[in-house]
Amino acid sequence: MTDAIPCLILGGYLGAGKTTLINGLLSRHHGKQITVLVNDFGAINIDAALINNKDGDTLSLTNGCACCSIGDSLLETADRVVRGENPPDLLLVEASGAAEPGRMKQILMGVPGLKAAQCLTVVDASTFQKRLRDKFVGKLVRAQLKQADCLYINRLAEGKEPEDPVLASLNKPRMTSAQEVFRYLGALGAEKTDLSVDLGAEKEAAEALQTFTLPIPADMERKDLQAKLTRLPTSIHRLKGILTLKERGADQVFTVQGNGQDCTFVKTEPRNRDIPSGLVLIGPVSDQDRRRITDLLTTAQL
Amino acid sequence: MQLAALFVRLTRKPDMSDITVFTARRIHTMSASQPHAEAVAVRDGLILEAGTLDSLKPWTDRYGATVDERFKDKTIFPGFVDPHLHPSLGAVLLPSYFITAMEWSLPDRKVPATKGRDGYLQALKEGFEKEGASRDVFVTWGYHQLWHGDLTKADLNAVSKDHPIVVWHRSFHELILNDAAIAHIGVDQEVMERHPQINAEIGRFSETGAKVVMAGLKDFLFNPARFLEGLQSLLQVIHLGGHTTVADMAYGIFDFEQEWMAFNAMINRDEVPLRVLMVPKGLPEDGAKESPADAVKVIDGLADRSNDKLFFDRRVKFFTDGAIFSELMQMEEPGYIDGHEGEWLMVPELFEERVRAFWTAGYRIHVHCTGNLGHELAIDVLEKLQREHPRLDPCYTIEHFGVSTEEQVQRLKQFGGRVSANPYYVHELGEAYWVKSIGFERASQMVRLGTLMRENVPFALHSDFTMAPAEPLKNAWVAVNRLSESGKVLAPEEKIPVHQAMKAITIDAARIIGLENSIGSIRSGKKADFTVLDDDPYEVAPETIKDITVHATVFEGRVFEVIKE
Ligand SMILES: [Zn+2]
Repeated sequence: MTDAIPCLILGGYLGAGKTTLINGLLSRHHGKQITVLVNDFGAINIDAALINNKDGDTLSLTNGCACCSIGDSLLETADRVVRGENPPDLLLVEASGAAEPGRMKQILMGVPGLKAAQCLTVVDASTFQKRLRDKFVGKLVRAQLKQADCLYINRLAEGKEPEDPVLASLNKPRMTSAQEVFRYLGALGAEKTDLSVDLGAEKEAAEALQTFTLPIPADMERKDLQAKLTRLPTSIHRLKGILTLKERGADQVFTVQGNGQDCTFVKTEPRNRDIPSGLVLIGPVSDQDRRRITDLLTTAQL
Repeated sequence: MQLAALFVRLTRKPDMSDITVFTARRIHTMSASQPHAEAVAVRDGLILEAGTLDSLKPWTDRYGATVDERFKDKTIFPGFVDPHLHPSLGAVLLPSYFITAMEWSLPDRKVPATKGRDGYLQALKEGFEKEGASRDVFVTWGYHQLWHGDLTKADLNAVSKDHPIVVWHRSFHELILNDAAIAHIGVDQEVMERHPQINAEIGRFSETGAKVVMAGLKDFLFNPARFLEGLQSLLQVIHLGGHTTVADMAYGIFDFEQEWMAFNAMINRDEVPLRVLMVPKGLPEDGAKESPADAVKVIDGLADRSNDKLFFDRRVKFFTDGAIFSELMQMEEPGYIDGHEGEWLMVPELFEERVRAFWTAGYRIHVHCTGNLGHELAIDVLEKLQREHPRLDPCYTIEHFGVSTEEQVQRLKQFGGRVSANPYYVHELGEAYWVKSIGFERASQMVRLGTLMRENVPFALHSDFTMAPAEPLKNAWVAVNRLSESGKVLAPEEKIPVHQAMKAITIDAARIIGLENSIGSIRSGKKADFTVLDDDPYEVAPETIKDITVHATVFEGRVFEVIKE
């Protein structure tokens, strides 16, 4: 069938980074209509300005995308989307952390008008080894890898290639950045229509992955900065820096690392009197977002 | 004399009813302090006391009494309690036509054991002739290839070419449809051809393929009239089994509101001799928006609707691993012989997080576990929660207790857990799983009740109906004899004595669901719920306990005889 809708299962264990990917995808302007079926509707975090309509367990967005809760039956929910008035260019299905993607692929085979699903399993490089050894989920995590068509190795220490023997033995296509994943999705979504807009293409550069450094005023209180960081968009997936801040009125140098939701401040001995107090932020953000973030972090007020 | 009569009249509360004394050949009270009695006095639905006609005199002399001797040749037990079954699943299944390898006693039919392919086809033909025309879709349940051989679409087409026939597998995970049924639910041609778990040629839909059929049959199976018919039938099944109290051990399995409406309409009535403890399935489910703390509030909110017949008691049900009938229990090494893996019904971390929220809110937790790795997770979480936030009350029950280890039982004991077991696995699956699934040692030792006794862990027996027949005496029979389907004794060390088995369907079952102060034994002050048997399980040969018939139940003092066809 030529007009069958392509489908991708986003697999991987709890906390691997599926939701961050989905939030990033739904918030971008890419000209594709993508419907995402999610497990945990509560974790979807989209700027209110992007939401067009909310109807029960379906969110329609201004960029043409939609997000629905899978509910009791994946088969029936997917069937409803495909038969709907406005079928998407691409159906993305988030697997629950306990799910085996192979079984979900089979369930989706029961949906007329849907292409045989591909599976992308997200691997959290920082916790993966521990998960594999876990007595309860080791086998499940392994099955999620084995049943994948390709892998997204997330949270890889910068510049490092995954050297894990398990991953190496799998011999599956790997992606190591969200950007690559978006590009891959763009290619999948193009199969249905002649739209060849690449989700990760250069013309989307405004929202492509950016690395930028902001000067943080040295009179900012540590706890104020910490509070501000929780207000960052989730698309900022990494931040780091050595900052001079006030701790109860006194100067103190900190090494800061993490992301907005989960960030550590470690007291550090100043090696050099004039360390530039800069925070490096990494993530796909629009110019508008970037201005907002700059305003937020470069003024001392809360 | 006259003065005495006047005194009686004056001191008697004007609204108090008469006393009825039931006599029996023997009353097994299930109270260790007075195990046997010959008569029991009942007033206003409560037991005054049990003893002999003579010992009851302080009551009967003073107030007078009607002596009801209709059970004088019978044996009376406390009303049977099933602490884990699923009324909603029963309501969906029961309107189907049963053709099963094992015997099933249903109120409106006695289902004989049907074995062999020829036997199955014959029974199918007869069933269709009897009921086919009256149903839009003729659904029959109970087929299993181990007993009935291979069955294909062609066999069903031979029974009827143009009336939809659906054969629903014993495990619920597979269906076989004739052409008319495939056309009726409108399975997409492309799906038929490409789906890896649909065999178009022979009309077989298994596992994920079965979901396609179930989605197509939803309107038929869950049609309200059919559901109410099924619920009516379920109430008869429960009565026939001799139950007076059951627990719905996953209320909301389909839908909280619709189930409540149907139950309230059918069960909350004077003429229904049954009360149901409602144990909601734990939230949040995958996909729900609420946090675990908010989920506790949602479940709290359900309790407001309690009435005398359907009530809540701050209990909640969770799940670890997959269904035993589908071989999806999570197994520790060395796992399954064929190397396949079980499944988690909930991510282990989420299971822990959700259980913790209810534990700290003071709920009592019931955890479905089937494989030994499933048990390990449930007991790990119990240990963790006991260390974080110790509780002395009996607040954690393992449900089903399929494949476990002796060490797990010891650790369960150590941390205050208890067990509600389904012994029927031993009978129906023991031999099949020995040969094909997990080998002799682990299969024969499934549901290790003897170990529970040795370690002194409190336990009850349940049916998990529709997974096993809702017949407490059949469960007691399995627990006592451990006879496999073909009659082999499996792990004799795990047998339990008759008295322990009878306690496990009465007082110990009441204890497992926290109702031991009002039901479960025959003693002064408890509800007058009795199960009246035609024979005495303590006296018959143990292998025949399952054949004892239930004569009647007494619910809060009122007699409900079992109508036999
Ligand atoms: Zn159950």
